[in-house]
Amino acid sequence: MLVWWDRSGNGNVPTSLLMTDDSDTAADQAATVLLLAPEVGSTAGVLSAAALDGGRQPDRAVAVTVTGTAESWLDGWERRGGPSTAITCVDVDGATRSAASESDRTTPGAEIERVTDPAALEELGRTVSDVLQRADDEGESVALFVHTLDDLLAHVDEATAFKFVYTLGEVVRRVDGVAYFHLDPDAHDPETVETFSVVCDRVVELDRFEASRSPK
Amino acid sequence: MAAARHLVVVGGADASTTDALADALRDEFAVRTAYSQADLLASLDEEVDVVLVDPRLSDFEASRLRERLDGRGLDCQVGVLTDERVETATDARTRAALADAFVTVSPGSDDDAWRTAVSRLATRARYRKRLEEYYDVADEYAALVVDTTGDEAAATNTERDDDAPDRTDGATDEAEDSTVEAERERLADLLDRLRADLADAYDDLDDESLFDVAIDSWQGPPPPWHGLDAPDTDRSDDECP
Repeated sequence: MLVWWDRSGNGNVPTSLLMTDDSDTAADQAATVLLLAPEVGSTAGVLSAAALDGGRQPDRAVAVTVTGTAESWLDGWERRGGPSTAITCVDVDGATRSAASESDRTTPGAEIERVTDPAALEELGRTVSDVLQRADDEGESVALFVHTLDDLLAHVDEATAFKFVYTLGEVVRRVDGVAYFHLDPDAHDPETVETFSVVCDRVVELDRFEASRSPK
Repeated sequence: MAAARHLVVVGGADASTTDALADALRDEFAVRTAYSQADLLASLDEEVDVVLVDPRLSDFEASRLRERLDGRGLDCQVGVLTDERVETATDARTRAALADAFVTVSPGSDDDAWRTAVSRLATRARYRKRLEEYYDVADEYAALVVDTTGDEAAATNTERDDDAPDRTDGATDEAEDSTVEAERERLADLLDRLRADLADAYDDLDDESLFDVAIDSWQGPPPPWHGLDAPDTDRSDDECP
């Protein structure tokens, strides 16, 4: 089950359950969404598609993968996502993995950008921002998926990750897109989860069943 | 978030040139002047947004300025007063040590050029300071929400275990709840104002420097002049690169 939470002056208040038309409105109005779901591993692409389930399909999906690979994200996305959506993957630490996997260098159906250092959030931010700006220049609507904040928090402190989320969210807002930042709530203390809830417009919770649901 | 005038510290070796620069900036900024490194370091506090420093300042050591800024956690932006056409070894060393310095302003620039350069640095400082404040308040808000949620859960359990709650304790709890709720509303309002101020500052930033400003520089790649060769310490200050 997906649950939308709307940030109000009095904190996060649940407003509706997804799978209804109301949720489309909630998704369309939010520029940044905190996607609370169990650790998803190789099913990150499935999770991304599930987050859009029933909502507006973007012209371009932009996926940031850190521990997971661009290929595994694509595999999950193709099982659940819209076939007409163009894809760009920003693969962090991809240089290391591409040296170990020849097939990682050529991924059909997607543009791949590489960022080598997961702690260098300036470089990651600039790279993603360039991708979003190019898409906007082409008149494409975009959805950004960051998999995951868990991985970034393993390399930088909470304050740095928070500033990155805010700034990247503003970039997305300026191109009328939506950014989904995945966080495993079981991997962090409640205060950290709440802090990232503050910086995002909406919070979506997915249970383990929805996050790993089999293809339609 | 009142739109207070940005505070600039101008540290120059020559008093007349320093004062002229300060006068040119005073229409738009609050300005402090310093004519030695000791004065410059003494002028730094959390109110300062921009530091303009001339490497020819008496007894100047860039590393000491950097240590002072980092040691006190000051989020001001640093501009180095050099002339790129005749940059000396001291200038280059200064730029290398002051890693978040971004705009190099040249002596001899007209007043509008000074103000434009300082405005750019001030906008960067404003975004960085507000973002830091935004995180601090969000962290405080989150702690309050989590504490409140935990207290409510504990209170619910207590009520279930107690058929006849004490009336005095109940009144005290209500007063505490009211205080907590007031604090929560105060923090929520502050977060809303910070978001609005950040959005304004964001609109004035150039895309190129956005993430450099947002993220602490020492956790990322080298500064924009990373291609600059390491200064030659044996070279005379009078030499051009």
